[in-house]
Amino acid sequence: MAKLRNAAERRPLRQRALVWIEQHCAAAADACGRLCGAPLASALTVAVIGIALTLPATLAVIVENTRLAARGFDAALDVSVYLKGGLPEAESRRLASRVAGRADVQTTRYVSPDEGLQEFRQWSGLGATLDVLGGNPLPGAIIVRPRATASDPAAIDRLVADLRGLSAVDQVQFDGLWVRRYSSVIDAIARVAQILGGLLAGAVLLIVGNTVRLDVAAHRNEIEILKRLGASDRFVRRPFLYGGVTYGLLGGLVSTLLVELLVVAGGGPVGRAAAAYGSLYKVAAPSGPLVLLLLGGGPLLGWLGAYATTTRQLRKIEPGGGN
Amino acid sequence: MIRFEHVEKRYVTGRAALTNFDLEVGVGELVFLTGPSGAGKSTALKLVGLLERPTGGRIVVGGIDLTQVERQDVPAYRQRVGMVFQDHRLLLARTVWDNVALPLIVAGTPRRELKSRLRAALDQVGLHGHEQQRALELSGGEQQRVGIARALVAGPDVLIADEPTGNLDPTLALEIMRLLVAVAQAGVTVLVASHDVHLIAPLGARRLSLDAGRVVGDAVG
Ligand SMILES: Nc1ncnc2c1ncn2[C@@H]1O[C@H](COP(=O)(O)OP(=O)(O)O)[C@@H](O)[C@H]1O
Ligand SMILES: [Mg+2]
Repeated sequence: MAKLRNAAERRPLRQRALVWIEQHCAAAADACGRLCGAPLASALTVAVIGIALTLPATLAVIVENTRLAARGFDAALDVSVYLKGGLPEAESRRLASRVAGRADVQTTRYVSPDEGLQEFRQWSGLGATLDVLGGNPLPGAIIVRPRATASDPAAIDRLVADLRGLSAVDQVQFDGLWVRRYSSVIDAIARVAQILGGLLAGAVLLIVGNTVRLDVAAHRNEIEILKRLGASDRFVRRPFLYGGVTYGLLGGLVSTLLVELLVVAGGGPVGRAAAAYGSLYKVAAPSGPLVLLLLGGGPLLGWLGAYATTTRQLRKIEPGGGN
Repeated sequence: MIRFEHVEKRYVTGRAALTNFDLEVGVGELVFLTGPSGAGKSTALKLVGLLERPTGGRIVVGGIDLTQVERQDVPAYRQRVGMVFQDHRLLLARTVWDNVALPLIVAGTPRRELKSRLRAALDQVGLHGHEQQRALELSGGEQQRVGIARALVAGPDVLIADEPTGNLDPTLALEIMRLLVAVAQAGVTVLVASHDVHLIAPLGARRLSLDAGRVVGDAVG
C-alpha cells in the first residue's frame, strides 16, 4: 500500500517550521476571538477559576507568613548547655567553638561561671545577697543558637540530643514544647492548603472542561467541516487548547491580584497587632514561587482541562452523518 | 483510479446500504451515480471519502487500499480527496477567501503560497473578484461554486460531489454540472451522485444506476 503522507510532510523542514508557527498564531488568534466573542461568559469562567485558586493561595500566604514570623523568635530557640563543674575555661571555650562549627548551629556564646553569676545578679535583683554564698556555685555554660527555625523542631531535637551526648556536658535546657505546638499548627494549615489546592485544581479542570465542552458544541458544524477537509484532531484541538490556557492564565492572574489585595487589606490590622506586642513584623506579600505557581499552574490546568475535553468531544464528532 | 470490489456497507441500524457493489473508474473519468432516494449513492461517495468504512469487500483509491488506512492516517487521506456537498457546507460567516483557503491551511500550506493557488481555484469556477465577500452574501449557485473551488484548491486526484445541484434551479444546476465535466477534463477523477436523470442525460457522461444498494445499470450517455 502506498504510504500516506500529507502534503505538509513532503515539505522541507524550514517551511514546516514556518507553517507550525503560522498555525499556532492562527489558533491563538482564533481562541482570542472566541473568548472576546462571548465576553461575559469568558469573564465568568475566569472569575470562577480565579476565586478557586485564591482560596488555597491565601492559606499558602498565611503559612508563609507564620513561618516568617517564627523567624523573629530565634532567641527563644536558644539551647542552654550547662557544663560539668570544674571544667577548665580554655577547654570550655574550645568546646563552644567546636559546637559553633556544626552545620546546624548558627552561633554559640560561652558564659563563664563569673559572667553567669553577674547576669543572675542583675536579673534576679538579689545583688549583694549572693555574696553570702562565698564561692560561685554556677557552672560554665554555652548558649547555642540553632540554625533551624521553629518550623523544624525535629532538627532542634537532634541537636539537643547530640549536645546531651557530649562528655563535658552536665545538662541541656531547651523548652521545645511551644515550638512544637506552633510548628504543628503551621503544618496543619499547610496540609489543609495542599489538600484544598488539590481539590480546587480538580475544580478548575472541571470548570475549564465544561467551558470548552460548550465551546466545542457551539462549533460542531465548523469542526465537522474541518474534519471532512482532512483536518487532524490535533489541528482542530489547537484553538481550544489555546482557549483553555488563556482561561487558566487569566484565572491565575485574577487570583494573584486577589491574594495581593488580601495581603494589603489584612496586612494593616496584623501589623498593628504585632506592633502592640512590640514586634516590627509586617505581613509579607506572596512569595515569588507562589506567584509563579499560580501563573504557571493556572495555564497548565487550563491546558489539561481543555485537552481532556476536546479529545473526548472530538471523537464524538465524526463527519459521516448528513449528506 | 477508484475500484470497488464486492463492497458491502451495512449501517449499525437498518439493512445493507450497498450490497456486492463493484465499480472501476479510470483517471480523469466522470461517473454519475443515479437512482432513487435511499439507493446508496451517498454511501458510495462517503466510502470514497473515508467518511464511512465498508463492512465488507475492498475499495482502492489511487493505489491506496482504504480498508488498510488507520484512524490516524484518515486526515492525510482526506486531504487528497475533494468533497462537494448538497448543502455546500461553507462557513457562512467567513469570506470566500477564508472558505477556499481552508483545505490548504489544514494541509499545512505556507501562507505566502495561498494567494496564487486560491486565485487559480477561484478562476476555475468563475468567482474571481468575490474573494472578500462573505459566503452568506452569495447566491446558491455561487455558494456551490465556492464549494467546488474549495474541493479543487488543494489539487486532489479525486473529487466527489453528493447532489451538488440539489438546492439549485435547473439553469444553475446545469452550469454546476458543466463545471464538474470541465474538472474531469482537466484530469481529476470525478464521482457525482444525483437523482436528477434529466439533468445528467444531456451531458453524455457515464451513468451508474443504483437501486436498493445494487448496481442496476452502467451506461454512457
Ligand atoms: N448514517 C446512517 N445510518 C443508518 N442508515 C443510513 C445512514 N446513512 C444512510 N443510511 C441508509 O442507507 C441507505 C442508503 O442511503 P444513502 O446512501 O443516503 O442513499 P441515497 O444517497 O442514494 O439516497 C438508506 O436506506 C439509508 O436509510
Ligand atoms: Mg444521498
